[in-house]
Amino acid sequence: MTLTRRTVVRVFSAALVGLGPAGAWAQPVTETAVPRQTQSDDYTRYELLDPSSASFRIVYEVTATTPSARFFWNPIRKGSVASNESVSDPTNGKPLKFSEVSGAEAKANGLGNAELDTRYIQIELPRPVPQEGEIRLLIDKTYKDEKSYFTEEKTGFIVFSRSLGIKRNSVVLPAGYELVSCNYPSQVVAEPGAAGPRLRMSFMNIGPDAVSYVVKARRLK
Amino acid sequence: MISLPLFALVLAAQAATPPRAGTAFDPAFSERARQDREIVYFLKGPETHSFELYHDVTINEVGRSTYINVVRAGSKVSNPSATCLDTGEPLKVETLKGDEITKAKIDIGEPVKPESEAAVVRFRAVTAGTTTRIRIRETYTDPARYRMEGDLLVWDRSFGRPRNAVILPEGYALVGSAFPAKISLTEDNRIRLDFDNPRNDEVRTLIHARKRP
Repeated sequence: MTLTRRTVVRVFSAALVGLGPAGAWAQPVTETAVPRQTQSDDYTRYELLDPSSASFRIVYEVTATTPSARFFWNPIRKGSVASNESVSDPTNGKPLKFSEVSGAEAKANGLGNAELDTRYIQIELPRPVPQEGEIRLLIDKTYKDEKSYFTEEKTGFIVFSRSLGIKRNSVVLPAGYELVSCNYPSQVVAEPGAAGPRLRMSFMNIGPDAVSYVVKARRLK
Repeated sequence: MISLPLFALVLAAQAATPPRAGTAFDPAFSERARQDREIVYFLKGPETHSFELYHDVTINEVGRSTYINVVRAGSKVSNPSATCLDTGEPLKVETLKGDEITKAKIDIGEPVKPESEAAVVRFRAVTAGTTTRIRIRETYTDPARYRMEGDLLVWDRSFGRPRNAVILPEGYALVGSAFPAKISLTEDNRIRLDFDNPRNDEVRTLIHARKRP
């Protein structure tokens, strides 16, 4: 469901999407207008992997909403090393083509305000985004980031500390850990796992800013 | 667009009409962020179905000298005590039941039944330009809402106040909280859940916990 369309890039080229002056998305277009990407329904699940790996799996649900767009770009956060990337189409489960590109490549391919020092996952959409439609995507990747996921020396607690800009998120602890701290109001749910139950913290950020989310956990035994 | 004469007529009509219930005078519009009652629950072993609690409240009403805490049906209260937080002095508290409430002419905000129970805190009457903040401590027993299901501790109560906290018994790990909570570890190694509800409604705080291995 598209409740709101989150604008990732601020200025949109009417020419790119073929919208006339009376189009629903008509905006003041200047000669310097660059393509923007819009999206909605973002939900991210962070699965904390073995603490010694400093790695976490990210399962990201997002909907591309830019009319006529052929690509969707997902930035790779600076400081994180991405691996095990895959993208699929939730309508049929089939994998989608993607490649990791530089900011310059993303810009050249249509993301007008791509940051040149950022790398992107560039996804080939299975069809152009319909004028009154959307294309759902499921992005699966693993990040290694010692600054976001580490073991606190003083306490031995594992810590997940990350600024989360997406408005709906969950963080899943490794099996065998109990939650001892969570700084933003979150639901807590035990979910079954192969190595035993895992705790999932889930929250909705209804504020305008990102949440500096900090979760701490300790080994149960 | 509304014309100027019509606009003036509307204003005059508004001025002449008494405020309607259901608008800004409905209690639902009371400023939630300014509500000053808060409560902290300290769970005892779940086999006891008991929990200690304290709740803090500021008394603003001039002339008021009692605070009445009506015990929820299904709960039993014991060991009530109270303190004036402004001075630290202990306050007199008594627990009244059924007819005792009627004889004391205390309005508990609902019809008094034989099983009705209320803790009454007495303090110096609030005078103009002053307020009094008090803390009431009680022990509740509530087998229906605080219980064990197999090896699972279950806390299932509704909270009406904007700010509440629940501290698990020592030795218990949190395994579920249906309502979003902030989690922290107390100095004595117990898990604390803080619930903030900005809405003017009650929330069901269903908590599950399990004894650590």
